[in-house]
Amino acid sequence: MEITIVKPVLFYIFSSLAIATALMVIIFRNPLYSATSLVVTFFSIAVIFILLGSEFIAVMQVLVYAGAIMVLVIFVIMLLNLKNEAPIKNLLRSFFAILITGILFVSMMFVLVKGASENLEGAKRGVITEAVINETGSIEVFSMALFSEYLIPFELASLLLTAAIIGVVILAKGMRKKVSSTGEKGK
Amino acid sequence: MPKECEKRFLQPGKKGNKMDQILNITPGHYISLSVILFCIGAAGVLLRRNAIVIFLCIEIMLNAVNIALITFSRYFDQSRGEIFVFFVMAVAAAESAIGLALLIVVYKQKKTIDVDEINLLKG
Amino acid sequence: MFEYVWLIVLLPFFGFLILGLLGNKLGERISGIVASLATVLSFALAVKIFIELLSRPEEERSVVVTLFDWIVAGKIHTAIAYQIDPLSMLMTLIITGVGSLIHIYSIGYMHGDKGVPRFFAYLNLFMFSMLNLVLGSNLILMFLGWEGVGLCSYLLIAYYYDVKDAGDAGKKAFIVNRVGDFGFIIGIFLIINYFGVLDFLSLEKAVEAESVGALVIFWITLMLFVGATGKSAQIPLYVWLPDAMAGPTPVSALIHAATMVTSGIYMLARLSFLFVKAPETMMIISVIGALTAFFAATIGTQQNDIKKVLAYSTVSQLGYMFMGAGAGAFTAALFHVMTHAFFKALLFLGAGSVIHALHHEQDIRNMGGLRKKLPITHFIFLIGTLAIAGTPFFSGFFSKDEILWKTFNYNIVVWAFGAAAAMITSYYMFRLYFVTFWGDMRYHEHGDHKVHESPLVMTVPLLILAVLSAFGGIFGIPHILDIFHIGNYLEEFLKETVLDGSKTYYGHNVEIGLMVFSVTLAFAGFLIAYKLFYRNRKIPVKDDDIKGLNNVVYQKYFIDEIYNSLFVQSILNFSYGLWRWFDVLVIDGIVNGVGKIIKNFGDGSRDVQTGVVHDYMISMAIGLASFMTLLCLYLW
Repeated sequence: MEITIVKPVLFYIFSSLAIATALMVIIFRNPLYSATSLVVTFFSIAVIFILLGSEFIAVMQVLVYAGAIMVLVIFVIMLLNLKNEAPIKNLLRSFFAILITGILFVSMMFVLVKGASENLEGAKRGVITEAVINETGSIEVFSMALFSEYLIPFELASLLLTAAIIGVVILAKGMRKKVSSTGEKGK
Repeated sequence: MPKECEKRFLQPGKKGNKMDQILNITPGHYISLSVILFCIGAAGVLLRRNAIVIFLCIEIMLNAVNIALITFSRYFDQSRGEIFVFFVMAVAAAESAIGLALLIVVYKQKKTIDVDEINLLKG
Repeated sequence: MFEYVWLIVLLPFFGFLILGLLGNKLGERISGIVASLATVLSFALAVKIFIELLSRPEEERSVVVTLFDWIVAGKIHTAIAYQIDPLSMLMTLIITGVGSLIHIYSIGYMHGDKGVPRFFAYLNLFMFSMLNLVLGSNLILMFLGWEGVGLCSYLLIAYYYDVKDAGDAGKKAFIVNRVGDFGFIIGIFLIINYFGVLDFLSLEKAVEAESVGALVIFWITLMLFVGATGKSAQIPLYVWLPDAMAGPTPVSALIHAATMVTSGIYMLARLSFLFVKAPETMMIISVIGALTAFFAATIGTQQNDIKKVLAYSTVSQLGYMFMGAGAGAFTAALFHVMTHAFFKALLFLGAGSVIHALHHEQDIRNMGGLRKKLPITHFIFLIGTLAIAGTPFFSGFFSKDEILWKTFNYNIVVWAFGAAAAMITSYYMFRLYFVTFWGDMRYHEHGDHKVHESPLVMTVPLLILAVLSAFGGIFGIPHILDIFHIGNYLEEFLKETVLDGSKTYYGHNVEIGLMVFSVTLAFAGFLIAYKLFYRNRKIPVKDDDIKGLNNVVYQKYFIDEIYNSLFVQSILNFSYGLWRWFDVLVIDGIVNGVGKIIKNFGDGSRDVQTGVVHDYMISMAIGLASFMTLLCLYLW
């Protein structure tokens, strides 16, 4: 078997897996089943990323999404002890939802088909060709761009995460009431 | 189903071997995957009533967008798309933390997570 | 000195500013002194300029001093400019001279009243406006003064603002004046349209050029005369003047006797070149003047308030002036303006002295025998009465006779009314004199306010005015009475400036005969009054006892009531109707309706916000889907 056949096979398998598990997320009533399906979705998408050549992003995907976010979600589900979701009540809205989604899907595919008929060869391209990546390594290339041209967004992202942490702490703990009788100021 | 979709909507402009069309993975394949995942996520957001499941569907949509970004980054020989994805993930992480915290606070008040029940902004 | 003519106008204005801003701090005494000083300085400057004017030969006696351009718009080109010529200087001397005396008098009269600085500030503002009126070199500046004196008239009549009658009288004066001013403005517009120039010298040349039709000139002059009827209290717009007696007596003396009410005559004389071209208007002016003179005199015979008698007397004398002006004798009318200023101011100030002494008693039925207690006042009042009745060799005799002679040459019927009015004038003035100063003492002495003569600050101006009333006729002795070889100064003086439109048909004998006839009439009036009120000690009856024709005359022929029902009530009803129907239904309907529409729209739109997140998300999805569809269509 040629090496070249590996890629398409892997692509088809894992894309099907991704789609299937995504469907399962929206179909299952039990929130825990949905969450678990989503974890599998994330893993398959990580493989897609590797196929595309961005190993770093694939690892990030597994670490952040599947590793941190989903764990958090499952904790919350367990904490709140959620029951299964009730059957559909508002039929009209559901119908509209499906209709809108269908229109969205059809139009986006159409745009894709039309747009993809353009020749990609003539489009403006950057400098980081596959040869460069093979030579320098994809992570090095990535970090070179991140810490030079995109340094400020990087710093801002850290600020964002700090803000998120503070926000979460305040939301979870709530504001303490001020205590005045003993002269102790509220924290 | 995915295979049929792939066969139908495919890589236009290529008049060659059908097998070629299937075996040669063009950016179009990846974008189709992105579109499908996005629509699934959208449908889930509009259909489900459990707030956490809605949140999960939002994550699906974000991931679909990530796929598209990486695809374009690869096929236009740039690193911009990847970096964008990096930040998308950072934001998604922050947002999920806060969203879940808010969810817990709401649950404490309302004892339910069904978004149809939470309509205090009515009127 | 001519370049400083604007100082004459501005000195009272500075007085007004100082008193208006600082009056309350300066106090009553100093305010009076400041105001009088401003006026006296204006008078001194006017005298100086007058003497300088006299030193020039006759052809060069018209000077215009321009300060700066004022309104320059299209056809209209006016400047702030003052014209020095015999007519304006004559008026200026009268205004500042008599004005100074009245200012000084007021220092004593207004003593103890509240808000005296305000009074003097308004008086100075009035002087400023009046001087603008007579010294202005174009119609717009004259109109500025015209409006200004109307305003000051309102401010001063309603000086006692907490008295309802005073406020009503002030409003009435202003509104009736306004009706006249409307006519004046139309006249100005017509002049702008047909002549294109507004200053008097250019206008005179334009009128001489005879380029405009007779009908236009008729309407211009008629409209201007309407303005004059408003300001100078002729039929039909005289009704404000008797009510204006609610103001302080110096105000009545200055504004409603000596100066403001004569502005109509001044305007006629200033535009004499225009009026002589409109014989129909002149006839109308003369007829209205004569009718007013007669009509007002009859009302005066029944009045029992000192000031009201004098008010109707003023209306009547103004009628005389217009009668003469309509006959073309502008100079004679101006002569009467001058003498009337003297003796009417004297009479009013004398009445003020009486009122002051009797502690604000104004009804002559509560007076009597005052000649012993107020000797000086009695003396000057007698002089004034003799002057107004036309006693030979007093000032009034010469001016009145001049007018009657010229009118006789113009139209006998008009003259007849004037002559009758002369006799009635003599009658009611002597009636007033006898009832007030002779007979039993019917007044009550209030506690420690003994009846005493007025202080010097009031009596000295009175004496000065008495001298002028007695001997002021010297300026206009007619030619036929060539005693002491004096000649008619006034006529000579005004010859260049004011046209003489009168004709003389009858000879000297008729003139002398006429003179004797009017003296006889005056004496007859005196006799009747003497018999009734001196010999028989007859006192006018109380209000309830006045019956029949007497009552009709006493109630001023119910003219005010007729005006009220004809004009005032209909306007009030119309306004009420407008309010009820138009304002409440239409306007409020529209305004509230807009509010209601918005509110209902809001109520309806409110339901879009259901509060359910899914609905919002579907809206977002719809938006996204439509955008994508559009993109599809675009790419197709």
